[in-house]
Amino acid sequence: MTPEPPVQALASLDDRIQRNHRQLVAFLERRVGADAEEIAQETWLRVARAVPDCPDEDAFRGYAYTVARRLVIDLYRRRSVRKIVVPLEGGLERTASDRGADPHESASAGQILAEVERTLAAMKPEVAEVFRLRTTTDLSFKDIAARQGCSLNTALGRHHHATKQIRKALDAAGLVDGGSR
Amino acid sequence: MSCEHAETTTLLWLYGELDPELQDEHLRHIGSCEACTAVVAEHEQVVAAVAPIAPALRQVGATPTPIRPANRPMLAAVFVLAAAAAAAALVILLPGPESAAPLDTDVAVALDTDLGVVDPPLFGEVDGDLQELDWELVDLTYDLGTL
Repeated sequence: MTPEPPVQALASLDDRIQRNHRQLVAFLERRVGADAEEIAQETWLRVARAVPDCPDEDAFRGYAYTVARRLVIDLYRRRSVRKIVVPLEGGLERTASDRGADPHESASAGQILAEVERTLAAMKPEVAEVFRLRTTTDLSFKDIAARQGCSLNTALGRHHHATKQIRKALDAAGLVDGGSR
Repeated sequence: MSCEHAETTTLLWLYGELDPELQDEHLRHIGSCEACTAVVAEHEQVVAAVAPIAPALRQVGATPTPIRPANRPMLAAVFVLAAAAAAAALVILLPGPESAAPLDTDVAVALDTDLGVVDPPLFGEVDGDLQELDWELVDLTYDLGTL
């Protein structure tokens, strides 16, 4: 296969971005709302830098969604999300944002919280702790491993196990957005 | 479908903890690896679902930090010392057989015997009853002999 000249390679990359941009933005809007366009632009920049000569369309799209997912996770950790804490039996105070909470969204958040707590309660404490710390604090996996007195790989494995279990529980309850590309 | 990186390097990449100079290279790996791509998708779905309730997650049902393995030998040593101390206390407090103080009744009996006092009231009554039974047995034996 003859390598494309640089100008044609850029044109090809630009064509691919144009063909996939709308779909990527739609995917991101379900997750980050108004930040979708910004995340999409960042996604294309990173993909172009890492794989400027991607061999085929499907692989290119795969790279794009992988990077997009990573940027979504980064965004959640950076920004302050709408804090929707719904009253549960046993009483949590509701702290909806000034923009107000959609009742359907609040109910869904309550269900998700209940499902996640139920799943975490069924896990070994050290496994649940990794997930809680990674989700609610700025601790790195390295910090968490030091805190638990285990190796980095063990902490990563625990987090992966917890995530898999929670994903399974949320999926069974119909609470997770498949959002496949 | 498995990959040695799926639960390690890929997670570090995904959560922004991989060395910057390795990120582009690992992205190229993920793009060609089904297992790693699936892991990325799975984690992103959970993060997206849990993000709105993360503050509540911190408050409710927090589990205590488990005892780290490094502390277990020290804890074991503490328990052993405590058990040894308890055992030593028992040995000190409990009297041995040779040093046991004599019981009051033993002393009373010994004194009575030495002084030649016999028939403490209780035993006297019993001996008396037994003596009567002996006489009745003798009479019965005689009666049977004359039949």
